[in-house]
Amino acid sequence: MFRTSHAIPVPACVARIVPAASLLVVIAGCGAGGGDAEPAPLETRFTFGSPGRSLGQFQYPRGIAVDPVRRVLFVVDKSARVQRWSFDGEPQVQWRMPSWDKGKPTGLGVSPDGRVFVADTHEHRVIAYDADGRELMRFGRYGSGPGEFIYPTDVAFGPGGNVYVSEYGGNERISVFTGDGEHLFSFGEPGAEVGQYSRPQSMAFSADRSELFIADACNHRIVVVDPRGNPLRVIGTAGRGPGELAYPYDVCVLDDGTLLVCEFGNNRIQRFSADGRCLGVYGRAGSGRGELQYPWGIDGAGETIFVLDSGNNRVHVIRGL
Amino acid sequence: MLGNLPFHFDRPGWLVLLVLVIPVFLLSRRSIGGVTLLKAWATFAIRCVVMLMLTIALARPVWEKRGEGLTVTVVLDRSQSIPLAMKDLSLQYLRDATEDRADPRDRLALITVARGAKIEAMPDRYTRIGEIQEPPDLAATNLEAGLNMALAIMPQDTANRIVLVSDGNETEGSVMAAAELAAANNVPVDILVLEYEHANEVIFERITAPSRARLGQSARIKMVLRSQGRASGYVLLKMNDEFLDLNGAAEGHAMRVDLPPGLTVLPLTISLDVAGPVQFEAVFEPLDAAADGISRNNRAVAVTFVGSEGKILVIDDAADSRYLVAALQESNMAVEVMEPAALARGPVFLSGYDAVVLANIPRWALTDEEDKGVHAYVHDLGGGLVMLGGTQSFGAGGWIDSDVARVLPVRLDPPMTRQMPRGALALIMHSTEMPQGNFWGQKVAIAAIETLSRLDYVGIIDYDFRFGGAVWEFGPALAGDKSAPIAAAKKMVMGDMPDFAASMAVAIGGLAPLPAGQKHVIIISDGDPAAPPQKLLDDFVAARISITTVLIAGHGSAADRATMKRIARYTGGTFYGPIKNPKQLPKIFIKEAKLVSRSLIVEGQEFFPQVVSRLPGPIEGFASVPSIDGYVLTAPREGLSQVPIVSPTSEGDDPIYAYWNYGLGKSIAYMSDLTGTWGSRWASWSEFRSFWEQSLRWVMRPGAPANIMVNTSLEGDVATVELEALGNDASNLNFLRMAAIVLDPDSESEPLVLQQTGPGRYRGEFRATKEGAYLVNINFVGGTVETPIRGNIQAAVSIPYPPEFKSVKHNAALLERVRQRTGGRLLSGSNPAMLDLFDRGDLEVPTSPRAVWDLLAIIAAAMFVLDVAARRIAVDRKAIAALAARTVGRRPEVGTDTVAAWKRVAQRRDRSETSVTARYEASEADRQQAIDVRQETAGAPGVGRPQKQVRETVEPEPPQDKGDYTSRLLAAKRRARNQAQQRPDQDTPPDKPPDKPDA
Repeated sequence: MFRTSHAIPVPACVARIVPAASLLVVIAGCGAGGGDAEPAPLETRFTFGSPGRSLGQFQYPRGIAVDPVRRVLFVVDKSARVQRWSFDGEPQVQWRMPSWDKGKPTGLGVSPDGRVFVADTHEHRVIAYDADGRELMRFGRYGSGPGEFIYPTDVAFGPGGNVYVSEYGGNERISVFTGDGEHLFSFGEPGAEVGQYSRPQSMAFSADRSELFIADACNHRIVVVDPRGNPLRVIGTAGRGPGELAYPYDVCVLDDGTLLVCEFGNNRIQRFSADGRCLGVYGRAGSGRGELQYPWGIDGAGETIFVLDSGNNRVHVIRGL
Repeated sequence: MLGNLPFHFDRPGWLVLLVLVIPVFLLSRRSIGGVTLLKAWATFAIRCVVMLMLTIALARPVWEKRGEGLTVTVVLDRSQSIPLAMKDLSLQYLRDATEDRADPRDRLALITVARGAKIEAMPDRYTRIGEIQEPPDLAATNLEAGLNMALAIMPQDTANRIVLVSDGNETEGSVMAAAELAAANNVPVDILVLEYEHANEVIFERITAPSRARLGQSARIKMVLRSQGRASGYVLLKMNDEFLDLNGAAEGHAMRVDLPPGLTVLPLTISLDVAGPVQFEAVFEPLDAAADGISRNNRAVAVTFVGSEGKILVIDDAADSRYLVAALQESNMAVEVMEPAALARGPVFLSGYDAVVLANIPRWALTDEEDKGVHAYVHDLGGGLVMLGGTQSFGAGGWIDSDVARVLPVRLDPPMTRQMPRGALALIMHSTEMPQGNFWGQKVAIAAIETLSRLDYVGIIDYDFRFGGAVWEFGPALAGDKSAPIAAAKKMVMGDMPDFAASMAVAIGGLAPLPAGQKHVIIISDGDPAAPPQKLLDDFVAARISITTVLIAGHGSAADRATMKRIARYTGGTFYGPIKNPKQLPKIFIKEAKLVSRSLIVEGQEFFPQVVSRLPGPIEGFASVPSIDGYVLTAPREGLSQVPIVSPTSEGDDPIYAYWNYGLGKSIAYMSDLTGTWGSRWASWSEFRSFWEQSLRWVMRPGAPANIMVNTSLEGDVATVELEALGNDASNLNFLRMAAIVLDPDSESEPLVLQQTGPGRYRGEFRATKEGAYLVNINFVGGTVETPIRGNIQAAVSIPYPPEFKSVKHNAALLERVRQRTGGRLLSGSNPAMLDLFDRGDLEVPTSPRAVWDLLAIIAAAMFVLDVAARRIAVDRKAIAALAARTVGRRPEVGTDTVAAWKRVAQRRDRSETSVTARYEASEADRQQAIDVRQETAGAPGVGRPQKQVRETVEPEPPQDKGDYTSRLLAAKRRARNQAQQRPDQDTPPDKPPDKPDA
């Protein structure tokens, strides 16, 4: 049953999408009923990146974060390099993490003041850099106590400049720090119930920072909590149909309040309304134009969306708004 | 003249045809009478262009597209001969030299080279030199491979330059051969010499010892050292891992030496009182270790084979062979018992024995190399092998599809017809985080699959993005001949598994319904997938499926270990890890896979083996054997194997004792054991000693005649083997037929040709480049019918350290030859002015030629049509104006007139005319009326003119056509045809205007 190519149903909810939300032009649809239609590729404007270890090249990139103010994005890959790119796909600068013997980072975030916080996953810490790669601070160490990490996966920035760090590997929680790395509190525990997580792979705050969207990857859902960690609602269930998720690895909140979810397992992008209705399904598995292989990340600024196509060592750039 | 133009002609002679423009001009003048001057010149110009295009096309023009930019491909030597500090410095040189480029289009590529070449960065304008990954094997230098790789990846649309950064000490290949290739391609090779010199280096050149000696003989040993300057230190000598005392009565074993510059020879005489292969290992320890730059070249090794009566090596780790060993010793046979670890010493060690017995040894007690080594010992060195049965032997010990299994005279898979309980094994593969993870994942999966019997079930699960999660890459299905699961394993590309739960759910879903007695899962992972839920573990326990987890060293957090350990312990499996050396993995997989194949053991009752063959052989003369209490199930092997003792069953005879010749050696398989477990009655059997003495004597390798001597020597990387053969009467043995093989340190064999070079003397050579011992086995046959000569003899050549470590100084001369041959530049790291890698100098920018004659021919054909059109089409300005008016939405005012004219024509047509002539005239008049109307409507030149004038324009011979007789003739024919058609058909409407020759 696993070998059956998953079918994306014919569009039905497309009409519900507001015109401004026609971000991704090729819509596979979200209606019920299913069908055997071949999923359509992403309507990619262009891609950048190629396999390799030089500036401008990737070795299985796993984390992406956009700085909308300075119109640059940062990508971290499995050679433990962080690269800064322009929105036009020009590589600008790269630097390497201080150590990588035990493993490489899987996520990063850009704070409102332009600092780049890298979740140094297998080194059990978070390191903050300026935009040119100069280390500013680091915090965290291996462990399960307050302020300790097992495998930190992503960094998000909440109200009051607080830093939210997700982690897995046994802790399965979100820890909240001040902007200086001082631990405030944590929430979450391993499991599949409300308030429990299984590999929270990434996070994104709503524009007003009143809601935190957590990609609860191995529970195949997006969990919405308030900044204190109180669960508000859940988006998606495990599966391959519209509105269903398979290993959601990243989530991105658009200006209109809708969500884009990057599905590692389904090799696609899915759009949800803030209350969890599926608005569109985009992309399919493969290595061709508009196709995805192990997508790990998604982020955007305004009308420009970047999809991290990890298995193909490239970033898709999509503009639609 | 065309030198600077971006095109040239392949056949410029055809350009002579351009003179045809003159006759074309003259002919055009004659044929264009009657047309306007503008049209005449346009026609002439078009024809000239057509002529020009065709002529140029015939001359085969070639467009040369010029490339842009420069590509610098750096070939960086990373071999071990270069001091570490110099390696770091060379990287810094390159970083500084490539950081800023004057032209942003310039590209940079980086290739690292040692024994092989590795592309570090493809040509790219963004390439920067940062941290690099070393090429796989640093113990050799193959600069040829580096230059060839550079030539292969060069882009064709830029100028190219190679920068060779090396110490010039190549140990493999020929850099000059690659330089020739670069020169042929006009690619200069710049050189940056990494200069160093180990001023006080001491190199242990070699230790010489006789290749063969007799037991008790005194052997002359020579230790040869080379020193760059004066040096002092100690020499130590080990014989079979035990130090020899070289300093007499003084304390310790070492001998103090003071070495002058140059060669020093230290002779020594040693009494050889140990039979078998004797390895001498000499080491020089300098007093001032800092002065001796390279420590790895302070060692030398030699091997001497000391002849003796036949020796037997028994590999046993649980006293399974105690009765056998006692019996053989009673028979005055030399027997040594060792644990399986002894096999790690390789074929050189084994070759000192004439037979090896594996007493209930499982496959997982051996590494892949040891398994291969035992196979080579029998197949290539002519040794004998006996495998004794037991619960961990043959198929039950994981030997199925091993190298040793090929040696055995039975097949280890059970017969297809046999009804027996089956096992089921699922492999969950997640090894992406380890170096070469996919390679090792495939290797261990194949090792596990090969261990299974054909009746077992097997399946492989991994994370595959194409199917969106954990999937069965194979099965679960019967292993069969294993080709299908092995093929699936080879195609497997393991994805990064987010959690264990999905894969485990797939596994239990596939295994639970299978009709198998033993069900087992092996998970290999780096440990970072999310832990499975408790309920899933409970499901495994309820389904009686055990899970073994193998944690590979990667992230290796305590939480990872705890997760994987818990999965194994909760389900009844075993936890391994963290495994740092991937070579350990196959043994683990083989051992774990065998858990599902317990069914190959047949026991629980008394079995009465029957002797069914009395052919000459190892058990000749034995008519019956004692009963046994169990054995391992095998199947007879096709071919020349003999199975003289079997255990009869209702489903056929099971082999108990089998033998055959394999390669140069022989093997015996005894499927029961010789302990109290299954073979208690054998141990007390009166014929036990003679039975096994006879078997062992049959399987043992024949000894070499005492008067056959073999010597080896090594010069550079060429090893020489010389054999001297004397008869019993001291006469030379000539024309012996030699069949020799060389077994390299990886147990790979190659044939060696020995040619007779003199009376009784034979000689052969082979290349020895790998570190370790090369073993030579020579089989010889000759003599006469009355006195045949037959035997085999071994010798060894040892390479204690790679040739890489013989270099004490850079070799600038070789690099300079490369530079001169290719026209490159000499760069200097210490002088930035001499390190401008991207200097274009007089480099030629390449051009890519493209033939364009076909394009010109197409243009000419199109122009030809234009020529016809220019002459045949008249531009009707009014019609164009009307069309334009309609296009913009205004109806022309003449529209009503058009309708009226058509009505008038219709009315006239309705008038009845009886005379054909009258009808024709009326018709003609109507047609002229219609023409007038059309011309008025379209705004033709005739608009506004008197009717008569218009009619004049449709006279049969219009003035424009005076010079075109053919056109006039065609027009006349068309008119006649129209008239003929209209006569019989009076209803034909006059709506068709007459042909206008020049319309």
